[in-house]
Amino acid sequence: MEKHNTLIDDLKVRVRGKGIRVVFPEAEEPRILKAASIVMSDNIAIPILVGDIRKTNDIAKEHGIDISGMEIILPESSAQFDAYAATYLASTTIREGAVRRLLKKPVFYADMMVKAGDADAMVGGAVYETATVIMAGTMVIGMKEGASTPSSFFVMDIPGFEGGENGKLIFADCAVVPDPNAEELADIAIASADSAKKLLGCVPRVAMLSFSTKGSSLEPQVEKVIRATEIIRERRSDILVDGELQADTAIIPAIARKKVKGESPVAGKANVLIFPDLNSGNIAYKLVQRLAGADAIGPLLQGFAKPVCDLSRGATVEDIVGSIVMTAIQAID
Amino acid sequence: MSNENEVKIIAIIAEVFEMNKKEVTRDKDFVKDFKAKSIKIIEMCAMLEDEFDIEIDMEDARKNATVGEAADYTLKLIDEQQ
Repeated sequence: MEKHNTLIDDLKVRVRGKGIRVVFPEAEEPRILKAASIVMSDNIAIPILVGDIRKTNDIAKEHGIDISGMEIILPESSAQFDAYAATYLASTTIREGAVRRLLKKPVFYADMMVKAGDADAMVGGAVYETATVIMAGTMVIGMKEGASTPSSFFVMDIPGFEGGENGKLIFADCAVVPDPNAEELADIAIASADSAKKLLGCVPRVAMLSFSTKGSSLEPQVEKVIRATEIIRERRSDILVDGELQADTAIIPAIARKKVKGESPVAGKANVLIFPDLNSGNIAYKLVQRLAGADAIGPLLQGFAKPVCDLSRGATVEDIVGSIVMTAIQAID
Repeated sequence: MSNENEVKIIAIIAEVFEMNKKEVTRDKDFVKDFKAKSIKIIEMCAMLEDEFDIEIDMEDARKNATVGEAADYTLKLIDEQQ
């Protein structure tokens, strides 16, 4: 999480009182405890802490954080441990002893709680590396039906920009998949469309970005974007998508009218921008953030069967609260 | 003892990556030679933890690129923790 804006406040209103149970596998991290106590007292989520019970209580006390009323679970002492191990064992080739070893690790146990429906979302990554959060999510929770690639997105809130969705755009993928093939790019776009719908409450209009518009170049990099666009149309006819489009054609109506012949439900009015690779996505979000003064909210993970959040290890308590809100929203049906 | 443990480590790596033990030599690179996905590395760590009753920091262990590095890393943990 980099910066917050009123979007978080709007989402807080939507999530407040819904009783979303968020599990935190980094119970011994003071920033997590502070954020958990804030969301609990603000009725945004019901926190569940996974870690050593005595240490967690000691750390809370040492930092003057009130965690009374929060459930703290030590994986191997929990009543569900055997059942979780049996569930995981059924889906893997490794031995039972190894499964139990994995589930003793808080991030795996927390994901198992989400998979089992004993929690609604997992928020971690203040201490764990991104790769660990993604790996555990992939191994335990798995992907959404039809998806095979976890990815990430940013909500970009751009001052003075009147397009997109009330000045906001979804950018993806800017943090996880380095060089997606056409199938993976389609996965990223479909997940981003669903994220846009859930977070911005809008009809997603997905632009598959390139340096070419509608065949103005026939380089292999462009063919990948064209193929991804076809895959999205085959897999999800409900999604409004167009490609390949240059960035200005995607978001500026006058340029879209000039460059795109015929009707396009997306050109000039896109609210979801899908970049062809991580180089372009990451560079774009940082430039828009720095040069246009945009709030870049994210990166948020997507593609998992249930909500999983990877915090930045440098996240502040305020950042973590924002991430909890964004993740909890994804757990609302 | 260390030699015996190394044989066990190789056997576990072979089991996780579904390979013949003879193909699992110290010079083999997990990614280049075994086309290993990160999930397999995690599973390997869990199997090694179980076999030797040790704790492995998976984030640390992921830095081991070859079978030899993983074996040395595990042997060191066995020495320290057993």
